[in-house]
Order: sequence, then structure tokens, then C-alpha cells
Amino acid sequence: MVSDGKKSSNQKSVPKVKMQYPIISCASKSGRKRARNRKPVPKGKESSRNWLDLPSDLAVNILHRVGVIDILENAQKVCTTWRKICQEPVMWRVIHMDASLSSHRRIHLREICKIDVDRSQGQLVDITIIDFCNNDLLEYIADRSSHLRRLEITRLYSIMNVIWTEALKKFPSLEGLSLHKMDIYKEAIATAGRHCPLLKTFKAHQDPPRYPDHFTRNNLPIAIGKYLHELRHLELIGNVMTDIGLEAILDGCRHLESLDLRLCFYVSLKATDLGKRCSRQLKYFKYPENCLDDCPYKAKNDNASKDGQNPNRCRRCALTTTERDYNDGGWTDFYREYYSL
Amino acid sequence: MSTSSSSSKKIVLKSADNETFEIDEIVALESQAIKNMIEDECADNVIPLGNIDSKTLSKIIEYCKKHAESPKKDDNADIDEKAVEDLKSFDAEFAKVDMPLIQDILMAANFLNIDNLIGLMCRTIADRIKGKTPEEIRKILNINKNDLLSPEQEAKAREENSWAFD
Repeated sequence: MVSDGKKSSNQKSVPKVKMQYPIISCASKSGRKRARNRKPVPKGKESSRNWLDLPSDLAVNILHRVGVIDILENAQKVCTTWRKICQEPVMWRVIHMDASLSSHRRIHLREICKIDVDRSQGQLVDITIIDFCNNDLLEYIADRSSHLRRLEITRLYSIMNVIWTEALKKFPSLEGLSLHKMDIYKEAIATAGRHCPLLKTFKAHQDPPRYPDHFTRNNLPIAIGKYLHELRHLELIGNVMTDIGLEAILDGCRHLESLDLRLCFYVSLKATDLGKRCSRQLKYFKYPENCLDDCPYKAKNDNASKDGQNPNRCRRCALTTTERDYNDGGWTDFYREYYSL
Repeated sequence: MSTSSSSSKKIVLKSADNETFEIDEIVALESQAIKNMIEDECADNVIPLGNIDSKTLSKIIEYCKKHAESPKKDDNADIDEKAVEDLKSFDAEFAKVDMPLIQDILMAANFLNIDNLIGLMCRTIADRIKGKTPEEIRKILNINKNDLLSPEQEAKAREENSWAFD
């Protein structure tokens, strides 16, 4: 997006893209050949070392890692240089907020998040809201962030159907959508299909319900197959779909490259050589019983792992080969572990 | 590893205080800037690094050596976990230095364009100032007192996060 040349022409400018490093960006003149001919800069002693000389992309890099709440509460008050950087929209193009990492109440986190969105001045491209989003906040973001490319929400503190449908209409640039631990209605998927033509990645990690509804269990995959034809990457972890749902996905999403169905234990892959179809049609396929190691939402509760038991070990680890059964046989065992029964 | 005869080409780096460091080319390639110079064939003799002192440079070479020796992620999807852990603990140890040196390393890593090291240094600084008050941060980073916020700016900043005082 932003070239090295642009950076070099005005060294003080804040880079347009987070964490991109121009080649030799602290050289007064860039151009890689020139670098070796640079006049040696006299190296001062420690007293003359000045943080304010730090190239602004490095300051942005550091502040991003400090986190948005700390920025508003502390970092922006450190000095005028940092305050200026903290007010640049580029600082707020990527927002990541997690209620579990903060001592603030959810209602405050929503206010903070709105401030962050204001500061982005419409340049927000990527937002992750873990465990405090509600309809009001979602609407607020939707009304101000038409360039949003990735949206991730874990748990929504409202009933969402209508708001979602409206919100998704306002994200025409959306490429990635992750909705975890919440109900996803087929209407929202239909809206995404109509209004988010660039949507390539969809992820939904759900807690497997104890008693899946046999009439609605395939609604989500069927809606995905019907509306999200351009998907390249799909993760439906813990979904209760059956082979019918999987077939709908494979039929509808012809460009799909990777599919992750971990914890989808009702998918048997036995019927109609679906397994072969998956390996033919997809580049990457994660089976229901594959390990959950890299899944951020694997922990139902962490207490169980404290006594040396891992509640989330995959069935392949948990069961011996002879015990493994892709139908309901192993499911009960899994439940017992998953809910620490 | 870089011990085979074909890849044992040496590169010489010269610090601001005129100390020279001879290193294997593969170690130098960790720096994107040096890599570019080598590709452009303008790194035939000694590479002068006029803004990096020998203390900083030797730290950086230590880092690059370790990382050059470790298996790269894209080479092999299932590199053994032990190597990853080993590299992680090396990084953690490496970052246990005082703030002025961290800043020097960061500036030098930025100059030499060593992505991983920039990330490591920025992370280290961020971890040290996380949850600290503005006053504590100024102290940790030794920030120039001339650049403090004016009382009006202070008041405005306080207003902006009034939720903290609810």
C-alpha cells in the first residue's frame, strides 16, 4: 500500500500501514545503495539519547503492543510527541480489545471502543472485540467504518438479528468475518452474501450445544453454501451440522481452499464419499477430530487443566484407534470432558 | 548451519568506533539491508556502519547468529518444537538488558532492517511500559522533560478518558 519511496520523502510522516518497515528507515536518505555511503552520525553518549528521535513507525509499533486502553490512559500523556502519534488515525486502524484482559467494566470498554473508532476517522480496517460488544457498539462502528476489512466479535450482549443485517450492509470492503460463541442467523449470512462481495474468510467457533436441534442444525452451513460463493477459507468449529451441511458447503462454495471442521462430530464423512470430495476439492481440510492446539477458543474453563487434565485434547489423542467412532459413540465422552462433567 | 565450504563467505562489518566484525554471510543475511547490498554487489569489502557502536553491533550479531542457525519456519512446516522453544528462550534472555541498550539495538535493527529483532525490541519496550503511569513511563524511557504536555493538553487528555475515574 505504501511504498518505501513515500516514506523516505517525508521521514516524519506516519506510515499508512501498521508495522511496515521501510528499508533503512532511520537513514536520512533512503535508497539501499546510498546507505553504505552515509556519513557516520556521531554517536552521542547516553544523555543525548532521545526517545523522541525514534522514527514514528517504531513508536506506532510499540504503542500498538501497549494496547488501546493503556494508550488512552497513560501513553498519550507521556509527551507531546506521543500524544500527537496517538491522535493520528493510522494509530487506530487496527483495534484489538479483550474484556478478559482488562479490569474495566464492559460498559466502560464500550465507551473506550467508541473513542478508538472516533480516532480512526473512518480509517479503521481491522477490529477485534472480545466479550463486550453489543448492538449499540456494533451500530456505532458500522456507521463510521466503511473501510473495515476484518471484523471479529466474540460474544454479543444483545439479540442480534436485525442489527446485524443492517450493520453488514455498511461494510462493503469486508474480507474477513469471525463470530465466536454466539448464535448466527441465516439472515446475517444472506446479508453478508449480498453486501460484502469481497468476503473471503468466515470463521465461527461455537460451544457445541448439549442437545442440538435436529431441524435447524444444518441451517448455518446451508446458508453459507447458498450465499457465500466467494469464500476461500471457512472455519466452523464446534458446529452441529451433519453431512448434509457439509455437502451444502462443498456444493455452494466452489472456490473454497481451506475448511476447518474441528469439533463438528456429527459430520461422519461416511455417506456418499464426502471424504474423497473434501480432499479433491480442498487444499486444506481439518477433520472433526483434529487437534485444537492452535484454536484460541479451545478452553471452556481453565480449571480442568490445572489438575493435569486437558479438557480440550482432541479425540485422536483422547481415544485409542479402536475406540474411535465418528458417530455418536465418542461424542458422549467428548461432552463429558468438554463440560468437565 | 553455515559451515559448508560453499556458503562460508565472510562479510566484514565496521562499527562507529572502528571495530571490525567478521561474520558468515548467512548471518549477515538476517539483515534485509545488508542482503540488499550483497545482492546489489556493493558489499565487496568492509561494510561501514557509522551509526552503530561496537557494543550494540556485537549484540546484534549474537542475535543474527542464533537466528541464522535456527531452522526457518517456511522451510519446513513441522519444524521441531524444541527448536522453537529454544529460540523463544534465547529471545527472552537476549532482551534482558537495560533500556538505553534496547533503544540502541532497536534503532540499529531498524537501520539494518531486521524484522524479528525490531519486533522483539518493540515488544520488550511495550511490556516494560504497560500499565505504568505517564510519569513512570517517562522515567523508564528517560524522556526529555522539554516535551511534556501543557496543562491544557493534560486537562484535555484527562477529559478524554473520564471513564477511568467513574
